Amino acid sequence: MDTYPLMVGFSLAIGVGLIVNTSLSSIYLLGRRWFWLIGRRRYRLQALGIDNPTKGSQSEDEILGLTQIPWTNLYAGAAVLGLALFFFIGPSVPSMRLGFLTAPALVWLFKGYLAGQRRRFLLGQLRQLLIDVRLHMSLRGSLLLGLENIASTTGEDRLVYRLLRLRMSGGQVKSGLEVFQQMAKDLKSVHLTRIAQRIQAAQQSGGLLGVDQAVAKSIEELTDEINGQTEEQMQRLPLRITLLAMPFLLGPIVILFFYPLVDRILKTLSGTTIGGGF
Amino acid sequence: MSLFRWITELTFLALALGIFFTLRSILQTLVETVSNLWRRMFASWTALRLRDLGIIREEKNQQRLVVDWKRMVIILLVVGIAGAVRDALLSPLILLFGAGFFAWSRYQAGEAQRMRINEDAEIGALQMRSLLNVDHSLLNALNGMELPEGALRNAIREVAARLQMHQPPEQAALALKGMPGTVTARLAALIGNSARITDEVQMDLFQELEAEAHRQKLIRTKMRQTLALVRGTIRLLQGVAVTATVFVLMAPDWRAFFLQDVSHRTLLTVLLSCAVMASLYFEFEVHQLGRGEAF
Repeated sequence: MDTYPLMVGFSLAIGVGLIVNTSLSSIYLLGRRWFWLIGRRRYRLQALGIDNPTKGSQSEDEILGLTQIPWTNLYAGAAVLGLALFFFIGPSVPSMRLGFLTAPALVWLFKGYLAGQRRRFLLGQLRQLLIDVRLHMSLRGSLLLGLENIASTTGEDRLVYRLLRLRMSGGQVKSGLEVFQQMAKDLKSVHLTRIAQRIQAAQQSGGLLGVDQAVAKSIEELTDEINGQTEEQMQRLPLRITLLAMPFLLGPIVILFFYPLVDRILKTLSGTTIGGGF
Repeated sequence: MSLFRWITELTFLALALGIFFTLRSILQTLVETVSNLWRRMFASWTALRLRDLGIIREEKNQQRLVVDWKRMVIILLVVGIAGAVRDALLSPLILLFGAGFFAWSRYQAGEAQRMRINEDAEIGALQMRSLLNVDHSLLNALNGMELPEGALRNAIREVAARLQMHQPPEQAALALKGMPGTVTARLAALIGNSARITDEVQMDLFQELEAEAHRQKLIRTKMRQTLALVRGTIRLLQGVAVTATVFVLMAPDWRAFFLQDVSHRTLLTVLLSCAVMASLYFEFEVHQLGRGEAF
């Protein structure tokens, strides 16, 4: 009964949402273009393309490398598809028809999952970066040159390395410590903050403690933590995966096999169907 | 005109306008995706043709262009099942799942290749340190390395050839640029900067590189041992799921039951999607943990 009002309501919401999104993004783009035309006077470094004016203003999606996926389109597509399913299939499946309208939530969940995956194993990535820092510092002679060398030579596409490349690309970095501090701020990582603090302490110690020693100490600390985590994962993993696999993989198989049989038995018992197929 | 009609028409207009505005970007994305796909397919096809004509004679490309029969069988199987099912809803669904599985197997093959190169680099680092200890010459060490057949061996040979032609190590090491893996990148950095550092420093760095590679290998092996049971269980469940799906889609009684009306079709679609998504999720999880990124 309430299919049409719901349909109308959600269509209006999706339509208005899409219009607002398109209008706002167009206004934003236009505004940026106008702003660029009016404020054409750029500094020499920017004109040469060495300094990026948007440096330091990267969004979280950019940091996590999620901007390549057209999320707005996906949200819009999921909303329209959900609406179509609600309208065409909804009346036949009354119990789950409202579920069709939550299709954009699946996109949102997928985005969250991807963001979580990018941040996963951050400790391992940080440890690898620090090992690279030690190596390249020994080869180049300073923390900043070492970081520059890593950024220019690494083929890694993991979060920490991507962020390092992003931070080194501006050409305005004054010290290696600054890079670490910026990265710690971007990733909101306690471990990276601690590493930056340790490097700062080493630089201010007046030669008592070298940066290399500080980095080595951080690697040691991270190794201990990772070893502990790995042991824990090894203990927990088989049980966790098996327990999750049972309902999500075995569940559908059981339903596929036995639902028609159970349905037939129930119908036979109630006298609706006797003999014949399902 | 009644208020409800006004609202309905306004809604329709808003939806149509919204979809119209969004269509442009959707179309743009679609065009980009299709052109990227075409470029990739065309590039591999062109490489294959050029090799057939004898224009490309690169040894390192030889392995990539061999037809993968396992994948071909999977594709034929998926297309065969989709054809045998002959249903407007299920056939495209099976093709979609097949495409997903194919993409996943391609990704896994790429990752296995990366892993192989990284493991070769670990062996390479070990050999280089031993050879440098005996004869303090980078060129001799590179020439003396015995690596398994593969991309890294070819790249190392290229580096040695470049050094032989008196290129500076920094330029010679460019042959290793773009090779995947952290150990490979470190090995390239050590080769490239060998002229800047003393023998002692170089030995220390090689020792550290070797120790780290050894540690990684040890944890990876332990992790793989732990995951072996889980992987086996998941493979078994996947096999049962595929068999059950094929049985349900082929057995006339089951097929008739699940295709009798929209609600049963929806149930079948949801169950199949659930099994496929869960399968992909577990595959990804096990693959990620076995890859060693966590350590």
